[in-house]
Amino acid sequence: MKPDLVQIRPGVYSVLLNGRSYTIHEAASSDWIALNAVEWERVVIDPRRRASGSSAAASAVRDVKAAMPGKVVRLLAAPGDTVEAGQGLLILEAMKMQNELRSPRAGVVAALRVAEGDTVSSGQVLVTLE
Amino acid sequence: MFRKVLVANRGEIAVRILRALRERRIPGVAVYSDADRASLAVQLADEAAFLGPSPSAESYLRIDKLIAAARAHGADAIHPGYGFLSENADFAAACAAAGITFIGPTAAAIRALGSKTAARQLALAAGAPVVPGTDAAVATFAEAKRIASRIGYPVMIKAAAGGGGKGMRVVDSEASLEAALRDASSEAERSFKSAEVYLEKALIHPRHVEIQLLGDNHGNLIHLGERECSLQRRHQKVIEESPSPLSALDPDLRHRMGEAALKIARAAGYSNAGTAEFLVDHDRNFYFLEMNTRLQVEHPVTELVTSLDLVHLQLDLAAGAPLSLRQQDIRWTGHAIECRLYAEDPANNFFPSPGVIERLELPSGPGVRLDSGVYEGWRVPLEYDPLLAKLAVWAPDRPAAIARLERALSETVILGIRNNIHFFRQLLADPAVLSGDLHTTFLNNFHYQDPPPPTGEALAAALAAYQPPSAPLPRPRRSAWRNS
Repeated sequence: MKPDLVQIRPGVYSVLLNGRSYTIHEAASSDWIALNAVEWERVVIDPRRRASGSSAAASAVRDVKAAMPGKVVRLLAAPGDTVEAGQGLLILEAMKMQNELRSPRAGVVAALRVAEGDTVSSGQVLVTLE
Repeated sequence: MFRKVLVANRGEIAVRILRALRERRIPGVAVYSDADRASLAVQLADEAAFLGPSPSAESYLRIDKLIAAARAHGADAIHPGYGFLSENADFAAACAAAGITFIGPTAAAIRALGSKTAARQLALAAGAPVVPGTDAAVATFAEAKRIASRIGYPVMIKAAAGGGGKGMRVVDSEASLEAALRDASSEAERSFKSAEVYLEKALIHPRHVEIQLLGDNHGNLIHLGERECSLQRRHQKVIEESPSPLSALDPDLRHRMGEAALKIARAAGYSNAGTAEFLVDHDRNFYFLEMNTRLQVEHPVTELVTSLDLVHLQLDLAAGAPLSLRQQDIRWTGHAIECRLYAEDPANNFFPSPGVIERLELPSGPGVRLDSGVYEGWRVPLEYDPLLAKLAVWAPDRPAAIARLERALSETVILGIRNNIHFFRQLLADPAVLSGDLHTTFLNNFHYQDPPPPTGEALAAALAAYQPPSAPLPRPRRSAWRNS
């Protein structure tokens, strides 16, 4: 099901998903949002962070994708670089917050698909690992 | 009645008192420090007076500045709220000397009850039960040893001038008595400028139950029943309720405790609002702890079950009116619970979390009362107690009141600073809390955890709020701006 999103006022959203109602409040400048009045630190709901725990899945990853729309602020690696698992690849500004996108595994950077200043959409491939 | 009243406090209690003044059509004067210029209290007041720099010692604790502000604004009474100078006999005396009514008991009554040892002696003389222990400060280790073996271990060492858990030690055996005595005494010296300590029998898992008192200037005193405040963290109450869950088991307990509290208040010549605090053991024996000679933080729960307004009554009584209520007029209906919303981080040892409240959603609806001192955009100062608001609910019975408080908390959002909303949501789901099986050390073994991150559909919903509209807006069939 596709979520039905309505902005109630700036920073407050109503989301209907599978018939259920969610209300989201975001803080103007800090790292917190509230989902149905329960607060979360924004980085915690970053799915990339959750994925980093599962190493079996991570070892197979080739394409590092954007989990949400945002803007590439800075590149931290170049093609040919050898990177460790958890090493920063680039900084993506999303949800008013700069998130460091980290490598899901050790490897070599095959290609950077974006440049600094690029706006990216959800699911777009940003970095390819060899 | 008074021409004008100055509120010598800040935060939610200043707002609470200013509201009562507005309801009585009495002009109210707020006071503020540098940090509080934009406070809700200043906004809701008719007049406001600047006290000085943010540290309390240079503002809210300055008797001279408060008296001067009252004079400058033509206030003929001062309400001290709670904390700050509310239990300071010198302040009450200074008000009297300046011809300003102090809305509270007399300086003499505050002095008689101000020290815990003095209050204990007064209670003993009045025939009210006290925790077995010393009647005066302990002078030597030998004396402490003799008393401890008489009343039996464990014993509690307490600071005579203390409060808030400072200078307190529980001692399980004689081996650790001497060191604990030394530690408690030096902590008391540092905190209260008095090293005097005394000994009490330490009760195992006692409950904290207190009696609200009300007296006029003509010797009439009544009680408004009990509040149970057993849920405490480091001797600070976090949830208060009325009636006590014990009242359902023992309907006469309120009467017995009320009579004991009245004996103490009579002996002290008490007037205006006050609270006698007791510990209650497993056999429902109760022991007088101390008297709070002021309005309590948790007074709203009493107001909700008695339908009385304590601040209105304080104004009447301070103005010299005789008590219009007799003991038999007091009726208790339903159940009320209050939780104290704090700017603190429950996942980080309740560390205070000052800063700007970036988003604030407040609860409302049936049975909800909110006493707040904050608003969206307010910067919670780091100089003061981090209490933001008190959320209290009323319902016909205790289970319904707990459900209502949970509902109200589920409508409350505070972003920008850490807060204890989710701590309360977890606490209210605890089986012991639901059954009313409470004691003052319960929270020592209650372990809060931040909620786990959202997964699945909830995560998808959260992320959806950050997606651009996926479908393009339908193009209008005819557009006034089309130029082709």
